[in-house]
Amino acid sequence: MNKRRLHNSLIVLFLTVSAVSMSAASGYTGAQIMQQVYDRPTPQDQSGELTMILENSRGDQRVRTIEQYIKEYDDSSMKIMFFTAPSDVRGTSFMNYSYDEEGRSDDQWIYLPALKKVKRISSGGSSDYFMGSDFTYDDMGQRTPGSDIHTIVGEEVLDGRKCIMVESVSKDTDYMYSRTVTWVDPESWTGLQKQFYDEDGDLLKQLTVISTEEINGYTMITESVMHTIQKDHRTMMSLDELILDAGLDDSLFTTRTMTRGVR
Amino acid sequence: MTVRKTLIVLLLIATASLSYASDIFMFGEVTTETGVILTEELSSSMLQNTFDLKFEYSGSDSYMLFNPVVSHSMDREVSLDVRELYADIYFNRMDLRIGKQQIIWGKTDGLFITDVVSPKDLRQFLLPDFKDVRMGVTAVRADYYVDDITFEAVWIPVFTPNRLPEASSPWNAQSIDFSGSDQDIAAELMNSELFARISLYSSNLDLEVVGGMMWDDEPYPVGPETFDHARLGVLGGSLSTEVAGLILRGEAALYTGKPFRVSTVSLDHIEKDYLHAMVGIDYRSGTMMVSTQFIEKVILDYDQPLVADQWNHTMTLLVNREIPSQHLDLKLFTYLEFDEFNALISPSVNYDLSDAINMGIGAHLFYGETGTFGQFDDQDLIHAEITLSF
Repeated sequence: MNKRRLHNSLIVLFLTVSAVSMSAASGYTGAQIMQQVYDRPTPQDQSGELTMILENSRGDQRVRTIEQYIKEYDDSSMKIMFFTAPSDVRGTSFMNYSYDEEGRSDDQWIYLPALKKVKRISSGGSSDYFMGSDFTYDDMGQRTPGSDIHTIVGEEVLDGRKCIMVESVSKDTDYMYSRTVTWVDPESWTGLQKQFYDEDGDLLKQLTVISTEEINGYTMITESVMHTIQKDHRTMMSLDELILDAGLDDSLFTTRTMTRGVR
Repeated sequence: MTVRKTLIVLLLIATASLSYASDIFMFGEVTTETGVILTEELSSSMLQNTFDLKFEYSGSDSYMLFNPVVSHSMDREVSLDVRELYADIYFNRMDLRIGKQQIIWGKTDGLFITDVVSPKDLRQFLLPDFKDVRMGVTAVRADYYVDDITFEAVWIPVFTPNRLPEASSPWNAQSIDFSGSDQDIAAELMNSELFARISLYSSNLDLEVVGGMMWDDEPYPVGPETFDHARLGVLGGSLSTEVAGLILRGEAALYTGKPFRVSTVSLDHIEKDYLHAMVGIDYRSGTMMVSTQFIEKVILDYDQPLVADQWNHTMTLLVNREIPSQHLDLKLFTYLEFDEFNALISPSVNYDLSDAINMGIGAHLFYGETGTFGQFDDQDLIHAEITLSF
């Protein structure tokens, strides 16, 4: 009896999912939707001021202000960041070379003005949290769609925009999340909300896009919040003074710039 | 003395006012720290208020830094040190820095192998923050850039030795009076110190090769309460790379012409060359960092007995855990010396009360009878500090 009921439930679930998939995606599969998100045009380079507000469960806030420069290449990207606030980290800089090549870890250096030397640091893993925030390095990067199996699981309206919900399960069984669910706006192919589930399948954290801006034809996420629900800790991240496709020179991404700043 | 204090305050006020009237940016920190030596009397070793100010001007092709540090301690008068005061001029492929500056080389943490350009303030041994241990030197420094390679030259026209503890200081184990130890080094061109470095930072490997003609920052006795400094040559290098998620570091230097005492009952010395080398590994996982270093110092051509052993083996261990959600930073740094085993164990906890206020407590625990750290076995210290950054 129980087996029969389970069987019937699975048929209903399959039909529901199929119906949702067909209607919501207008012919797109989950993988195609995530590919569209991945292929959304992005600038070759960008600079701007990144502000992170870290807030713990008691409501205590810490504010980090960072001047950042990013340049994309066909198979790699370079990023250099200068901490401008709070004052005790002023002058600290961080540089990262990231590679698309499978298995190749990032190169990272840090310059601490008190030590007055550039130091190579371990890139650790993509599961490391960025500067004490709720974002891992993986959360902040563009995850290749081919790394996951994607399934459309529903539709929902967010801020008046009809979104497609896509569940992504990593092909790598050791991946830090058992699954993620992304709310994708098919008008702009932008993920507006994302939920991350831990290894036990429990909701770990939620990313919510607060605002986006159209700059030079690109849809840029300028304000977002990552809320780690299990610790009730959140990071508000905003990007200001964005300059896109300015033709940043390669010489910007060197240890010389780390020690003396951008001139 | 009141005049001196007034002058210091007026100087700081005048400089600070410049930051409001121009493009000069001012920031810094105020620190109050206290330390207690763990003897039966719990004698206080340190009670110090420090006002560490930085004024910087940043232009498109120039930069200037003025870093005065005002200290007031329980047993010392108000003192004004200028940690750094320099100007940078930036060219297309070259940077020039002129003035009093800290110059820090090498890949070793907590010890000095090729990092010998700036002398050290050892009045409180190696216990203060290393930004306070390293002293500025008046120098002209030029960096020339060719792709990933930097050629660097440093000229130090006036010798500055290590600043050593007074004879009455608990950090002067043998109560030696070092005053006047740098009197013999006249400020002449021939007495200049010269250093050069070639460094490479690439995606696979960071590499430095260094060389120099220098004065030994550490004095050696040539008579009763009379000291001299030896002219040394140095040639060395360092590297770091990442392998399987680990940072591997190495550094080595050969020093020539270092005087070593022949016997404890005489002041006779003999010049020897020695090799100083380090291998280290850093491991990071999330907010946890573990780093260890193995350091060897060996006197070459050790063909007769000397007061110093031929070999010296040292190890350091750093364990650092940050807990961002609680604004906590836990750290344990340890020096271990294996010849007549002795050690310094320094645990500390720091808490960010806000973005501007940091509080810390910690200890420096010495173990052993003799050796670099064991000689201070009765100087175990606990300390606490609060820092306001602005």
